[in-house]
Amino acid sequence: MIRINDVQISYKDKNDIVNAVKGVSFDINEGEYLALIGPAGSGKSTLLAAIAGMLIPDKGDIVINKYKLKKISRTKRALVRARQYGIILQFSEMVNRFTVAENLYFSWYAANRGVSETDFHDRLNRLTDRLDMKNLLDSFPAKLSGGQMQKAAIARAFIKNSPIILADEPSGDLDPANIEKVKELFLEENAEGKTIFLVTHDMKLAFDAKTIYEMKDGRLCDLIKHD
Amino acid sequence: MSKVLLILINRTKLNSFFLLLLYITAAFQLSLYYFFKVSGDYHNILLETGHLTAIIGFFIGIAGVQFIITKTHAYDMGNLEMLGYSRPAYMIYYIAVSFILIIVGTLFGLLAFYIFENIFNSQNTISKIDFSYFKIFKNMLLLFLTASTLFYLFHSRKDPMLLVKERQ
Repeated sequence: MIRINDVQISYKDKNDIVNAVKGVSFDINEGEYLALIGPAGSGKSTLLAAIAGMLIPDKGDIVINKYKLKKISRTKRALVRARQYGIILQFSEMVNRFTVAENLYFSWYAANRGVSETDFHDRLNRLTDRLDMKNLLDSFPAKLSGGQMQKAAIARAFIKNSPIILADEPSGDLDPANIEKVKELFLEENAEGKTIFLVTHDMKLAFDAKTIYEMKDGRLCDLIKHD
Repeated sequence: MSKVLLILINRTKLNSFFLLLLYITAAFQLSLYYFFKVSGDYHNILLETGHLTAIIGFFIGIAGVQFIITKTHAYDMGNLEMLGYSRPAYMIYYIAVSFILIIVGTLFGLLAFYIFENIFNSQNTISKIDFSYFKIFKNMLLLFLTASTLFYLFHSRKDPMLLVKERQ
């Protein structure tokens, strides 16, 4: 379970201080599929980065299992990320000097040190079939289109087999056919017990979630849906 | 050697090759300086000081190149940290690559000097040079390794989210 408790985050943008998240609280339960929607600049991505332990809130706590992300060291936060999270960032950030397959291997290895590589190849085959991206494995991310890169970033998050998926606009550059594939993947992985926290503009994708919150101007303003 | 380290070596080979050339040149220059000094070929202090200054300048230049190359890895380091590699974990990989490069560069530099010395100096003065000859290379190795480590520490100091935003 992830508990987000009165989280406030600000950052410096040129000379201004931007208050991106202003006292947000909610819980993400184990096995839940939760979507956060809202206009651009409402603080959704910043909140996701904080939940991932990649940014530290100015105030408030984010607790994952027993770990208070603010209280533990940067090294420990990385370990929490390795074991708990598969992360898709907004611009499908990938290491450009590695091929897609190498990016996926680094992701798998972070969470599965000591596990036989056959597990990697099994998961790789399954994911590349599901997302129809076998032909992308030897390409470098810089050579891919936005949609292809997004599929690679999604595969990279899922290949770790982490219990929690944090996804920031995972369908932004995808065509309708691929959006359907991603929707199915998210639903199936959630049905198998994965917790999914989705940040998106895409209501079609968000509507699969069991709980949908809306965020505006750094605040959680509405609970739109709760099954 | 772990597969992760092999991938890292393979994918940074262009930068590495450039750095390797610089380390070879540095080791060669250092050998030349030491050789002239031991064999008494510096006929005046100005010549010796000039050569030494040029070498120090070259070393500073190499440190500058190391600084720029480590900066180009900031985005990669942010990505690795996002995946769950801790800062010490990925630093070990990057420093291991630096260590290999510096060792190989130094050895090639020494070898180049040895060949050069055997071709152009029939007296084979190098055989008379004592063991302290190698100490300066140990110092060179430590100097570049320390610089490289400090630069990696410097460029990875920000939160991983900010590192990820440093896309080249």
